Amino acid sequence: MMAEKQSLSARASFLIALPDELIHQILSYLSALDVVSISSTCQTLYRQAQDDKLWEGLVNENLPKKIDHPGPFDSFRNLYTAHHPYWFLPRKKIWFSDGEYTGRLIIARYDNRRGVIEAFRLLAELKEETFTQWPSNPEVIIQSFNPQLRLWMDDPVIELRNPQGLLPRNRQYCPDQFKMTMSSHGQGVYSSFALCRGNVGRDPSLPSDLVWPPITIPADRSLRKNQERLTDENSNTFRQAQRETQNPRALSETSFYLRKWLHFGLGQPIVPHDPGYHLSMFATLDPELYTPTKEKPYQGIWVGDYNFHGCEFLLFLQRDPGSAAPLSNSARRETRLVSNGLHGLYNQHNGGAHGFDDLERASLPESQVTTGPDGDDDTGVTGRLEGIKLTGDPNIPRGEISFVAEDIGPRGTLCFSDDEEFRGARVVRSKGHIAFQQFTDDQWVNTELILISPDCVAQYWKPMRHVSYFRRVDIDRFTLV
Amino acid sequence: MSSEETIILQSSDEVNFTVERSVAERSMLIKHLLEDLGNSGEPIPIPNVNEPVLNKVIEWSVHHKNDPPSTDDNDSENNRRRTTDIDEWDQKFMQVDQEMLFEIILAANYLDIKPLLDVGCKTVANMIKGKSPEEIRKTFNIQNDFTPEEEDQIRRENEWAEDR
Repeated sequence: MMAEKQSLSARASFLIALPDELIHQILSYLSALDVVSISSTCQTLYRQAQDDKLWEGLVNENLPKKIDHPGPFDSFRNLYTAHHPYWFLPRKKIWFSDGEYTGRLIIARYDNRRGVIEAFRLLAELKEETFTQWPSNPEVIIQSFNPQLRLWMDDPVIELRNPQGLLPRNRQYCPDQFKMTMSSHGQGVYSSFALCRGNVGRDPSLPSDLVWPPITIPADRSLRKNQERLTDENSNTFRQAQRETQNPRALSETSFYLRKWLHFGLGQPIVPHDPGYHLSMFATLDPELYTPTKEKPYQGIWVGDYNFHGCEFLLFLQRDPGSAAPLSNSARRETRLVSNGLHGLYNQHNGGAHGFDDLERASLPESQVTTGPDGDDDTGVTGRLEGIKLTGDPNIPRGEISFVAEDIGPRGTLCFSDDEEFRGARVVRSKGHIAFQQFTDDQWVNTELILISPDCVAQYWKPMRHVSYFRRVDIDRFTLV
Repeated sequence: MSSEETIILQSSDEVNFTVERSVAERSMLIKHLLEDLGNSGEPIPIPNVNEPVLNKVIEWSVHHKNDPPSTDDNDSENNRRRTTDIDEWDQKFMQVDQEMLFEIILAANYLDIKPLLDVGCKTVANMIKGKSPEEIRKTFNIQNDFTPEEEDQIRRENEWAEDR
């Protein structure tokens, strides 16, 4: 053993002895931080790690379309380091916020001409709407739907630039809080981009109001530090929530916070002391959830017509069979009874005002009895289709489920439409979610989902006697600068 | 028909291996050689690869002889996913001492067997991931040849990465 060790140390390193192009290939599999570590080991590897091709790859893996020039920076390495550690913003591209009721959907991207990482709100506007009678059912109104989509460029939500290549600590207000450069600063409105650390896993035993993204969407969740009960870091709720966090220092690349505040007068703007003050939280979606496949052709980001509320964005989700889905109301009620003890814990500090309702926040209809034998019309597409709101309104807020079709295969199929409008589309049984303002007294009503194509779906709201449309959104169109 | 055809490969230490043509053709070097010169039935010398290494390379080629041809280079360059996932069989295959691992990489490079080269390089990359410079030096027997001044300069250059 000793002899073997000695002979090993006497030999040169096999790694260093490789030809340059092979060392390059090995380094090309490493993250930026691993490249940094290896560059500090010896001269040979230091020299290899300076290869700008390596850094070109590290930048480009975050961008939807490769760039072959480092823009305003003199190397890809400098470009990479200027925007470390938030390259995950353009890489994940879609982000949606927890803003009360409505929320926001933003698209993040990198503008190589200006060297800026930025994000804008995605807007859907209706130019003109027409209402027509449904010929086969004249009491029902069909509302046309051709929204114009655009990014709201006038008011960026994120704008991070670092032309001088300052170190992170020199472009932050305080640790993890990055300064942004919006022109609105001229009017005294300041904002910062804050990293989010730690996550509480997919199914934390925490009231759903305390986490984002909402429990309707499969994802790792982080704490909503703007949530009343989490703003005090000494509170029992906060400490309980912290205990659910596996690695509190680990940087989350699937969520972040934005803060806005007013600062007038002279002097450097500083971040307000109150940690929850005007803080909003954003989370992204796992591309697997919104990428359509052969078995899940309806999955994606969609825009829907919500009447006087205007257009809202949804995630159309086809869960894998057997995967965990949010609980229905009655199942939640049961859970609530079982976990009453646990909830006592959360309510101690807050007078028990909201505690009980929280676990019921993801409302679902009871499972529909699917009758009817398997037909010959099987297209291989079956199972549940959910429309989950990414942006919402005071009746059904963001994060809530807007409709559920229990089975879009033969078992849930009612008929194939004879109507000219719907061109023989499959019509499936579905439930639509309605509520009074502030999401009170929500209930599920019978609807029919008309599956016109994988890019267009209509919903017949039976009690309301109207038909409204959903259309697929091509997100990638907006990620290109 | 071609699956019946065999090729004889000869290692640098003059050991002969008889393999199916489809196995030998995992090596683009040999494939092109056979296309250009035909199979004479004579042993093809592989001057840079000794018997134990050639044995491993052939073991890999036999297991992967029916793999679909690898997607062309440009495609994999464009693939933004920095994946170092290695399939289970290959992971086990690569559980060898470091000398053998690097010999396999060099042989795959020389014989132009891109998928094997990729697996080898990924294996080394996985040995680097998450390690500190000192741990990397230990793993690969690297001597720290920086002067104190250089070390200081590198520390400053890399400050952006520590600052998080």
